[in-house]
Amino acid sequence: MNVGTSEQITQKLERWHTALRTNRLLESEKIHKEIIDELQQIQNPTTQLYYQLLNSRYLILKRDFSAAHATLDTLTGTHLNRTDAFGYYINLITGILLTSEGEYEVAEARFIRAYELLNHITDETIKADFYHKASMLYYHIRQPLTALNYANEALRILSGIEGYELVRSGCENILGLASLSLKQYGKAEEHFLSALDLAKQESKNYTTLIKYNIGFLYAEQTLSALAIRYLLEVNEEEEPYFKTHFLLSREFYRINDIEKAKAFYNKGIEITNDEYKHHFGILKALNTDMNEDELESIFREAIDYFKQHELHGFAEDYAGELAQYFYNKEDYKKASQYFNKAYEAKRALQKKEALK
Amino acid sequence: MKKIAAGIMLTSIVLTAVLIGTLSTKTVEKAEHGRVFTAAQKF
Repeated sequence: MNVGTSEQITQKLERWHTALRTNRLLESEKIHKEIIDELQQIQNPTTQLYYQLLNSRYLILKRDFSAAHATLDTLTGTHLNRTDAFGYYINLITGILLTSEGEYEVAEARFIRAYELLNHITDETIKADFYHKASMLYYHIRQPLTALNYANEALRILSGIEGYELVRSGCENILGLASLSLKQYGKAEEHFLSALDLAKQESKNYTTLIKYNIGFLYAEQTLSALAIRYLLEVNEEEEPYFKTHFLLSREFYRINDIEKAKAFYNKGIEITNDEYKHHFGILKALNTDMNEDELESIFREAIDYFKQHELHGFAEDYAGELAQYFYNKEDYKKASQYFNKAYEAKRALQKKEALK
Repeated sequence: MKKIAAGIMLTSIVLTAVLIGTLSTKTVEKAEHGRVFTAAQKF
């Protein structure tokens, strides 16, 4: 960013910015230490602002979300409505933070504002950073075609540029996930394998995350043995994570290995978040001897939760499963009631697509 | 040269259209069970 700052500090800040954009945590920490030593020399308000913005992104990379919020809160009042490069950065970084926290609606508003200010950015790799981050948001809010567009745009820019392998891997990972959302399993596998190749050259940590997605890909195709192989490897390599435990429990139930399914369920429910409490609850309801009223109540609570949180995809899935359950029991009144709920959820999703 | 410029403009128009379209989106969806490179991973 050319903001007319002292040459030496500016160069360090630019190096830091590149390390942050390319997800290099160790390098970012090293450069941060160098900058901290010279922080008192930063007198220029423009340079100070640039430092604060990069520092908030650094804190996001370190997963210190509350500190990132605190830093950004001191800046948003004065700088959020700027119409220059700083306006772009503050909107983008706030959007990245809100995406990481699952606050997708506000995050999208920030991304849209950043996009409007993207013409202030001349460096193509910084534009690619925007497209990559936007693709993550749109995957999360289940708009796979938009996610594909952005990830492809970032890849087009970064193709052949050295040093961006990890970002390209992240884009391939999004392409894999978006393809999986579209049930394009072959394409998803190709993209995950490309993501894996690129990540292997750069950082072993990210390969674990991609292997999780490959396990998820196989689980979605009910290739349970393959899914379990990948997910167990992932579980060995990372700190206990509720998504991995959920999928492992689900796949062990599928192959009727109840003991292992219960073990992953029990650990998973201890470390889960609010949303996954419902996924775990339904998993248990479907796999234990539960009376009909209790099972229906668990499903209904979950469907209400997902509907309330605008998670229509899951509401559709679970209402459909419950409808099928009642249909098999020849309770056609309840079956039609839940088929209708599934249909309403599907309509809500289609309505969103129609807006695009 | 003109072709490249037209290509860039077309991409820009498509992306703008996508963003304007999503601007009117009121509802949001969370991810499926997939994982993205959001921040430093814990391993």
